[in-house]
Amino acid sequence: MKDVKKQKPTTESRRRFLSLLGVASAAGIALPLLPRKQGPKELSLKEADFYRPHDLAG
Amino acid sequence: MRQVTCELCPRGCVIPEGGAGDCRIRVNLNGKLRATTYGRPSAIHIDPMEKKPLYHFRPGSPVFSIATAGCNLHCLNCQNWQLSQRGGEEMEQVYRADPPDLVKTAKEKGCESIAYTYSDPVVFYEYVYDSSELAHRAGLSNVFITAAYINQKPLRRLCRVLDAANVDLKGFDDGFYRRTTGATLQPVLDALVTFREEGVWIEVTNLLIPTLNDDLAMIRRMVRWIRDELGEGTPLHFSRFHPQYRMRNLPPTPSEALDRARNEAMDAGLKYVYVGNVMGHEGGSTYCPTDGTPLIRRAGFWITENNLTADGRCPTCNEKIPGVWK
Amino acid sequence: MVAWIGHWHQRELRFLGLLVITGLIIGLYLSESLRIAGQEGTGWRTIDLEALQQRIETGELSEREADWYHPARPDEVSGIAGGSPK
Repeated sequence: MKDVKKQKPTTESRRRFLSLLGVASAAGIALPLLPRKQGPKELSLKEADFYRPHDLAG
Repeated sequence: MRQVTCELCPRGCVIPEGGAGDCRIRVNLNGKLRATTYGRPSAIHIDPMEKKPLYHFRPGSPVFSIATAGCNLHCLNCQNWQLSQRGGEEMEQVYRADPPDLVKTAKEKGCESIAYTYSDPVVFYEYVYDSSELAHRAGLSNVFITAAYINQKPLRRLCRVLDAANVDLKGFDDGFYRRTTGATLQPVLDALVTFREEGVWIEVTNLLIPTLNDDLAMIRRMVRWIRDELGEGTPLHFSRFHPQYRMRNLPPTPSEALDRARNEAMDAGLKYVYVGNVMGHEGGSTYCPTDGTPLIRRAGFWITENNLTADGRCPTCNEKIPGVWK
Repeated sequence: MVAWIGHWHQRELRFLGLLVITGLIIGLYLSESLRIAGQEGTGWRTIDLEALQQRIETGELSEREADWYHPARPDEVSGIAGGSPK
């Protein structure tokens, strides 16, 4: 079995890890900023399906 | 900070600029309170009147039923929580249905009434009021399906344009109200009396939740209050609980508990006591309190037999059955 | 013990400081949440105001002025237990 403690990270592996971390952080910041449609979709009364079965009480 | 105080319901929310009331839809924008879902319902359906439930008001007629987002109660067992526990900006869809369009469409679809229902219509008060006024002018009735957590002044004004209400009396204990719904009992009782005083036809629904409000002593107090304050002819619906929303830890109400509650109410002198949410239960039908003649038989929300005379009397003994039958 | 602490580097001290700050923030958050939860109906909520205003501008929601309200009186403002949202 390999002794993990003795396996020191090389410059290359460190660079890979850091770049992966960078990409993940950038994605985390960018995703909420992407334009998206918020809130309700507006429909006219003509588009309503009045007889659609539903499970609302009352 | 131009804070405003909402006077609509007993919560009396003091709302800072940019904030919403407890109901989520009455919002303080630049020091003015805005009814943000006015004319923007998120649910529109045509239901039978029996679904509301109203059993003594235009039985079997189709009712144009609407609701917007928001509610001033936060019942742990809410069945319509996806509508009631959200603000207008959180809904997936809204319909553009200002009062004139609403009334016009209800007429076109052959409905005789508009129901303000599903969430609590108290919170979209202005929309209800304006639509109801127009509906009356167009010959439609207005029915209000509510928990009646509303202040007296707005309620008295609203009663001018309402024809019928089903009030969900959730229990007869203030502690239960506070724990389960976030509201209090007394304003609901006051509202029920006001509906009666103002001549709005009322029916009462009580959802029986195992171990929380199915105590027979509490039910006895409740039915005696209904008998004394609203009258023995007031229809009372005991409804079956199903695990929902934040109350999934309790089982559905056993049929026997509903039977016990119904017997208790009838023993106290209430004449029209129903059992809801149970298919095929005899408590879903209307019987003459004098001679037991079946007057209206129902299967679920559908009427299978209607023996009432045209003016709402028992065909056998001619007893006048309270309600609005035309 | 003293000798052991004496071996601490600045790095460990910084980490310890971070832990203390985190603990403080969690403690403050919890005590504030418990204070709000214990209040008798503080009566208002924060909402996504930007989304709401967008919807109003596009006509998807309404800005019809509500009935039944008045500008808050000083006694009402002080009566909302700190005025915290739900």
